[in-house]
Amino acid sequence: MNGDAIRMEGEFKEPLNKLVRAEIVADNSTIRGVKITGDFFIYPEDFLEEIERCLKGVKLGEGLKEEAKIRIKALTKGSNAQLVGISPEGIAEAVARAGAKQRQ
Amino acid sequence: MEGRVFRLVEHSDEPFMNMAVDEAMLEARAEGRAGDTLRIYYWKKPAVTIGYFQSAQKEVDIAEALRLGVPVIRRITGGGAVLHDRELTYSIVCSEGLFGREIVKSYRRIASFIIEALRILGVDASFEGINDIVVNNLKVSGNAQTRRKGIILQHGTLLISPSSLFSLLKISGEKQKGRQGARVGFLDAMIKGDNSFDYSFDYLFDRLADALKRSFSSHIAPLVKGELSREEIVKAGNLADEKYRTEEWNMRR
Repeated sequence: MNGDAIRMEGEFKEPLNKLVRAEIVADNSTIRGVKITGDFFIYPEDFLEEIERCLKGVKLGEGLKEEAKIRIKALTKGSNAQLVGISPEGIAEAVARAGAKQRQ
Repeated sequence: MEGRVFRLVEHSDEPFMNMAVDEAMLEARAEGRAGDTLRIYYWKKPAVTIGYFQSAQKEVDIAEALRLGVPVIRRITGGGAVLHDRELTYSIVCSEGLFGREIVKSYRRIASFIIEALRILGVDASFEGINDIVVNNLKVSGNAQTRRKGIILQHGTLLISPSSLFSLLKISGEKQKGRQGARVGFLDAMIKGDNSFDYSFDYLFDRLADALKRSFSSHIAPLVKGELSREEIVKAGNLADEKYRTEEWNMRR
């Protein structure tokens, strides 16, 4: 971190799904930490921490949503985790909404 | 399912213990030291619980809850924030073989005994979304489950009467946009129908509990009245003190 880390937050609720809120910490236009919260279900529960970890290093900007989606999908595909009321696309959207706040 | 029986535990407690007992039952079952269980209970004091993945600060008016002395407790199950006051709560602990490995389907299968119980009381309810039970588009029951070592813990609520404490729950902007604006309904008015007789909460709780037991026995498995084991009670006490009463657990997200 180079001292000018910023915190941003975005939320998204897909129709028929649960609420996903993303809080991100970024510096140098790069995500350094992510916290995902909401009323969804993930089994096993600690898989969410893996999702949060896989988003570290993603660059803010136009490609953020796509890159986040690709990473979460790849992680999910290689696991036995079940996501209920939440999807890789929904998480990526919430993260992108958080990231978009910086550019305003 | 032949030969399978469930222990029926009717143990109500203070808020931290209520959550700790559910987890202790899950652990005991996962370790093979207890059988499948249906627990029916109420909250000796009101409380708010939040889903495992929720942010306590975002979901609950923490300052107001503190002022009113209403504890805010993180569950081990996902799902949304719940105000527990003037409701019936149930929990089911059993092997996942009974309801299947697929989570979404298992919610629906477990909900069917609750919907049948409401039908016994003359209330026409249906399953909605992932984990809700509604009557005329009003949510009367929310349900949440977790799994450990092939064992399911599902707990859920049935809202009996309104509570002034609902304002402790915050509703996010994104949720308000959808139809899921947490519109809730209460079973007291629905069970009462046109009858102007004023039933007490205790009376309605007992009728609901009886209907749930009847429906569970005929749809899922016979019930045998039982108690928590000494081991479960001790375990629950430890979980209450070391986990559910701690800020570290409750505020972790």
